[in-house]
Amino acid sequence: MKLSTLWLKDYVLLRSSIDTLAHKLTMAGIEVEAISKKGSEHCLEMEITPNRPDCLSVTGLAREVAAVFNKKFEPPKIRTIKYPKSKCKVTVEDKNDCGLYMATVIKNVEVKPSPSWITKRLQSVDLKPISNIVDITNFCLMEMGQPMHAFDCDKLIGGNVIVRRAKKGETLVTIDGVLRALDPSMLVIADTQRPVAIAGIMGGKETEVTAQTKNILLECAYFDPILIRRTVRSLGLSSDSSYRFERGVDIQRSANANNRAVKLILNEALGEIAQFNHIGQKTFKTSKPIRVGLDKVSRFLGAPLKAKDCKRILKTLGCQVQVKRKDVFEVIPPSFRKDLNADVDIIEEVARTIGYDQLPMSMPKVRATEIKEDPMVQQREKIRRELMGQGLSETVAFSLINRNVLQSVRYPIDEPLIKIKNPLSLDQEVMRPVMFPSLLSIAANNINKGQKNIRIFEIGKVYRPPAEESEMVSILLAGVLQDGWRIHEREYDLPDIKGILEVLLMSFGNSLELFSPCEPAFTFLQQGASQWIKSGNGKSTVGCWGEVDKDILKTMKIKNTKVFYAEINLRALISQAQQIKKFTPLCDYPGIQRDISLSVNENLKLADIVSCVKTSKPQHLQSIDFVEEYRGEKVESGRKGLTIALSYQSKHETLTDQQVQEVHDQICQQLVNQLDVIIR
Amino acid sequence: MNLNFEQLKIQFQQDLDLSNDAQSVEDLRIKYLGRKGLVQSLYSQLASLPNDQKPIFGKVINEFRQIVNQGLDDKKSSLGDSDAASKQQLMDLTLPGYRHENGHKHLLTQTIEEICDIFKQLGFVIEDGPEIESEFNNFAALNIPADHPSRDGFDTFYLDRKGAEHDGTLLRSHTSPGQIRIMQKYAPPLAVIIPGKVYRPDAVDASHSFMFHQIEGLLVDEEVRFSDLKGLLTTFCKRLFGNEIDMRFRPHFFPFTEPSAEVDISWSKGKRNWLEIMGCGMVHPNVFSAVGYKRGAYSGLAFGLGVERIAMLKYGINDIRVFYENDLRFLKQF
Repeated sequence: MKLSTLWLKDYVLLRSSIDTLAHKLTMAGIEVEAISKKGSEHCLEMEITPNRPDCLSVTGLAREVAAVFNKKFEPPKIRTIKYPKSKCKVTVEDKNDCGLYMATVIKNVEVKPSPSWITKRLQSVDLKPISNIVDITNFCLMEMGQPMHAFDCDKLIGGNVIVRRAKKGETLVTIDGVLRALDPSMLVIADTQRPVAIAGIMGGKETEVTAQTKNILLECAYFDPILIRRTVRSLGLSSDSSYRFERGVDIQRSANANNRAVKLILNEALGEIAQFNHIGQKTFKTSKPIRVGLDKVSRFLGAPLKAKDCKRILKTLGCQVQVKRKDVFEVIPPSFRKDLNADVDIIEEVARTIGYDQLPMSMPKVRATEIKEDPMVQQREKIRRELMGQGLSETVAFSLINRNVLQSVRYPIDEPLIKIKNPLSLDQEVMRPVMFPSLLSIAANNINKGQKNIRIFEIGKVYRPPAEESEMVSILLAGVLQDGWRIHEREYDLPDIKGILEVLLMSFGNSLELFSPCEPAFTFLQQGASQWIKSGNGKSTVGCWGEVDKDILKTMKIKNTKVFYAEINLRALISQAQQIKKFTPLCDYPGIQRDISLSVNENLKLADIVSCVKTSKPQHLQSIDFVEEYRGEKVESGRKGLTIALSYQSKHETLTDQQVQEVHDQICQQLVNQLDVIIR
Repeated sequence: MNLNFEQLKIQFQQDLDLSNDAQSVEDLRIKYLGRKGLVQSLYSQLASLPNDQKPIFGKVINEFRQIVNQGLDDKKSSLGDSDAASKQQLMDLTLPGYRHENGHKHLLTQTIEEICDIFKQLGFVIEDGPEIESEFNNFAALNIPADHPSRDGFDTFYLDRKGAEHDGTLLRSHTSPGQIRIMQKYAPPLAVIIPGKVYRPDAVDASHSFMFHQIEGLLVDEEVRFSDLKGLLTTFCKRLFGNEIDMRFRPHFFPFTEPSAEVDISWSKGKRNWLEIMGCGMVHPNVFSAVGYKRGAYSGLAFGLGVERIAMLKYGINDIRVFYENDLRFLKQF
């Protein structure tokens, strides 16, 4: 909304500087966004919030200025016009669509340029003068906030006006010269044969007022805001008119605005009123009074206010104020303030007019409550701490992705997805069902930019129909592990990602199995180098880990590096976190460690050997640690070397070599008997 | 046996003084304490002494042995020190250490935590809410009617669902539906902070993103005042941005608060350059009605802020895309 000081001064005495005016309006809720100088006057550009359609006019803003500066508001004096009895034919098909339609036919007008007092005012708010008739409708729109339209009466076929829904297939060339396709969701003004205007939005080219126009039909109406808004959206066409109708024009003052326009036309374009019609509401109930207690206002604002000040402010803003009891007001809001319905609305009027900056400050009393913090907040923070401690940096990625991205990482096509109905681009098409593509593309971008050590994680959600949001932790490693000395650099390998997961699981006291003999994990991970993570005795899948498939790396243009990925459901990860740990007494008797070096069949896994050792529950055996795996000359082909370390300790005595040797020999014997192993 | 122990001591001291490396100290140890060393030979001579003299000489030999032991130990450790010192001089101390660097928390997470921590200290509790929301929670319950211009600021992604033509399931366009969920679940008093992701159909450019983060705050009790809103948010802003900032509460319109305000801050003391950082207000009575609170029984304050905007202002970032590109050079700066 543009407002010029030139025009403003018609209705309120203004002595302040432009900066003060802008500041005070802004601090009263009418934000001045730009100021431009026009000769000795200024034009202010303001953001009017949707609750204040009354401020979409110069008189509306003048009233605000008067209230804020405590000046007198002097609206234009508009005299009632005596309209002739003769009626032009107007039909309103549905009063819900059009609550009021006034048509005034004025004959023998003289279409010519407007006088300078009108053009100056229009130009002061960047409106282009066209001709006296059109300018007067624009002038009234700006001055009173009432949109109007003038038709060339002689071009209306049948000479009458019908307010109806558009018929399927109807079209209209609007005054901007564009052909518009109409449909029954839209309201039009039609003559007996065709639409001549899109109601409340824009008139038609064929019936517009031109230099040749002799007789006009002036429209002053009220259209349903929702209807106008929908039509604006579906046509992608808005105007100064529709902007006001959408937000709500004051139907009670439309007649007044019509008087103003007709009077101006008669003055400036001559002519005489030939016919008139008024369809719709003529009398209006006053708004319901709102009861406001001064003590409540004071208490709510935390500031003692004087009844006198409140009353003055409300009156200047156009309210009727009656003092009922001591310090209890009954406030009847003016017809143009449909936003004032409850006492809090009245309180806001008082507060903003005084200025929020003039009101006191206090600290609220925040009472302790039984509402517990969402436990996930703490757990997420712990996960971050753990992973950052392991040198991983956190990333944040979009939850909406391009469906093609899923295809390129071979995400199963038949898995259901949450789709967005109204994406602006393909990159907002679906909600990610898996976090992998997000991290992989971050890795690819960083590798492209020359990063050698990619060590990242994200805590975020994945989404499945119908409306499932599961929080996941995802980890990605690529490139080389660095510690500041290049000679120590080495490429990441599978145990790196597994180790990170193991430490993470341990820190949450979680004993999820990272290996379970079952089908290979997600198809974007390499077969034989990836695993699902299972919980509940292998019943449900809660994550996966492994090496990323090399073909996928190729499509992502990631070269010369392996990529490792893991993800785990956050709730599964923290499922044991609430348990209180119990202290294990420390043992002071020394332990004895014995290594076993084995040559084992290639197919044997460490887990097989460990479980074989454990089957007989050997006495004093405290732990079994992996030492190394060896392949090479020292073991025959088809076999591998494997060294484990067994630690023995007793809680009650210092073990002797002999005690340990007995158990250890039994274990070795058991291994040799039960598995395809040779002690080296 | 006639030995001058004083002479022996002097001799040992001289030998010791001449030893300047580990080898010569070891040689000395063998000379004095070895199996065929001096001390051993003294002990073997004891046998030939008369019984009454044995304890006396024995004691003297013991003393001497202790002196030798002590002397050798001292010498050894003093040599050891200088040995280590000479080795250390070979090490180039300007070489970098082995750096096992910690990872970095994303700046958005840091900003969310920083903001949440301030409110936690003021007694607020951190809560969570889903991103997939109903039209009721996102709009109607917040006093935002359908087809109303007050929805203009809230362009929204809807989910495309089979079977249901338009069931209104959407991605929340602000964190305010979190207020509704909390109030539906709990009765006042309550003081909660709800951080999270929100979505709006926007093309991505330097200042727009279709996904961003907001933090919602809600305080409801029997008598919460507008002055409390001013006080609380002034305290918050000064803690977050520093005491030297200027602030103002500018009246604004939000359907779910009344009165409503936007908070502007400014760093420059001279020509003011106000930057809008958050929206706030007193909870609208219609919102209380929507969650089934008794009308008139409570008052409350609510506020919401954009995390990206705060981080951009605070850390001097001028392109919102930097948060989602996750360039390690950016992540490692903070």
